[in-house]
Amino acid sequence: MSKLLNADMSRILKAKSLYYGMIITALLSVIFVLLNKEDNAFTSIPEGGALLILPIFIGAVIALNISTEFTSGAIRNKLIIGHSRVNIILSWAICFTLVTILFFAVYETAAFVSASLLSYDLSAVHGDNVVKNLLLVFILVLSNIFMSMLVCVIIEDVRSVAVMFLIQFSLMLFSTLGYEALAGNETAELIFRFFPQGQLESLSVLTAPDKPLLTVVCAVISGAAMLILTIVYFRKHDMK
Amino acid sequence: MDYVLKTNALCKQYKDFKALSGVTMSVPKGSVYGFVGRNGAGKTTLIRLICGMQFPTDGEFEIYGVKNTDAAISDSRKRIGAVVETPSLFPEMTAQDNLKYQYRLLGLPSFEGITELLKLVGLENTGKKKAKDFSLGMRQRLGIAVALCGNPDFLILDEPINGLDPQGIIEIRELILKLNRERNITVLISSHILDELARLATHYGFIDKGSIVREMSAEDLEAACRKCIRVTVTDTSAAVRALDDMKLEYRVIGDNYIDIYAKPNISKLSAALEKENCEILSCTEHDETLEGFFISLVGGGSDE
Repeated sequence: MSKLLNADMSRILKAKSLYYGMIITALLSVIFVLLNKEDNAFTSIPEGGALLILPIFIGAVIALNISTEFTSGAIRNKLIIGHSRVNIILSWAICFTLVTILFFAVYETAAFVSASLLSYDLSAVHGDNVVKNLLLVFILVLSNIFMSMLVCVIIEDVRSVAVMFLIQFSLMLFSTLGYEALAGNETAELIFRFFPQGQLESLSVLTAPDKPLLTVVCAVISGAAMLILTIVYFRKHDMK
Repeated sequence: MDYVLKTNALCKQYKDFKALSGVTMSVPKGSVYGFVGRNGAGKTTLIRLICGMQFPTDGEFEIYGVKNTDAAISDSRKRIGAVVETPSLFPEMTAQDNLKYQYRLLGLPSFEGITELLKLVGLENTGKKKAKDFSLGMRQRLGIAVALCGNPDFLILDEPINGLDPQGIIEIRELILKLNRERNITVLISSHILDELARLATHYGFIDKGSIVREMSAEDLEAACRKCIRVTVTDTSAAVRALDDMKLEYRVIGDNYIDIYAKPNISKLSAALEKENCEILSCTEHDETLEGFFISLVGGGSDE
């Protein structure tokens, strides 16, 4: 496992897509801050923006990396030299968790630093609420990477990038439209806790999150289910 | 004889298509095993099963005596290097970086052997050139170098000369022979380019429609393909006595068939056989290439 991690990590950290993705994420974060300067509306940038952007960009990085492994045949080499399929998936899971931390850190740092530099009024922002909200955002975004992994393992090639975009946009549309239409519906509210886009309208760094533990449990269940599905699928999958 | 790989009634079914139907074969240690078959005969499927990329639907195989159902098969696979269909390379990486990645996967403590490996496959001067800019032959050689990381004892090459120019074919051939002779690496090489295989293989396995139709050594094949006169006689044992008396080299190949590896005086041969009360029913010149032998085994029709 450590060998796989070492090889995967060194390759992913050398991939240009990772750095391009992080630069674009940071730029988008700064653009959000700039666009909201007039209204001095910092809220929704650290949480809503992250829930919207990070799943797409992290998903793209995951799709590019995993599809490269399949199309280049690198995954065959892993199997030939005796690495187990479960370990291959777990190694990816750890690597992309680190990628998520990097993207999250870059986005939030860019948001807070640029807001400070542009003299936003951050007096309404309380540290306690910010930490709780950002932790929730991170857990939701992290749980989402396992869905990306499942999609990539099933599709196997670079088409997974397009499918990732489609899925993330669909979730966003479903959440945005559904949030208004199903306001007050408890089942809908529960479903929206399972994926990051579902919390777009619910989280705000200005207020304490509603039932944060329930959101964490839902996100963890969603992530674990996707990881298990990925492992189950890949363990029995015939590769070309 | 020690065997690196043994398969026993190995089957692979894809929905309603049976790619392998009871393949039983053995690859002797130290050999260059030519795995011969038409496109779609099941060569690559068998290699995928051995390499752990796919799972058999029935039957079993052993690598270095370890069964595929045994947990230790992963350790046995560590002794294998393989290039399956296309070389497994990262196109954006240099030759050296591709080898470094493989070294990391294998958990090798240092990158010391990389220069030697690149030299072995003739890619020591590629510098910062990325694998995507390599010629097909260079990519194939780099694929073999990747497969050789960790000093495997058993190298599996699936159609390694497909699409190569004559110079590329010669380079790959010389490399395979060098690995087999100097490093004592057992090589399983699948191909449908028979002339090329004939220059390399010490053993052959012929596969058709998912089944092994024959396994034989290069000596046996050479004997089967040697220029000879094939006679059909009424009494084989009588004919053998006559041929022994005439001190002719021959081989009994069937109930009434004998191949004579010389140019005998037919009148004398006929007289000698008559003395033994044996008649010659027919007499034909027989000269077969590996290609001809393969066609005679599997028939000339197309699978397409």
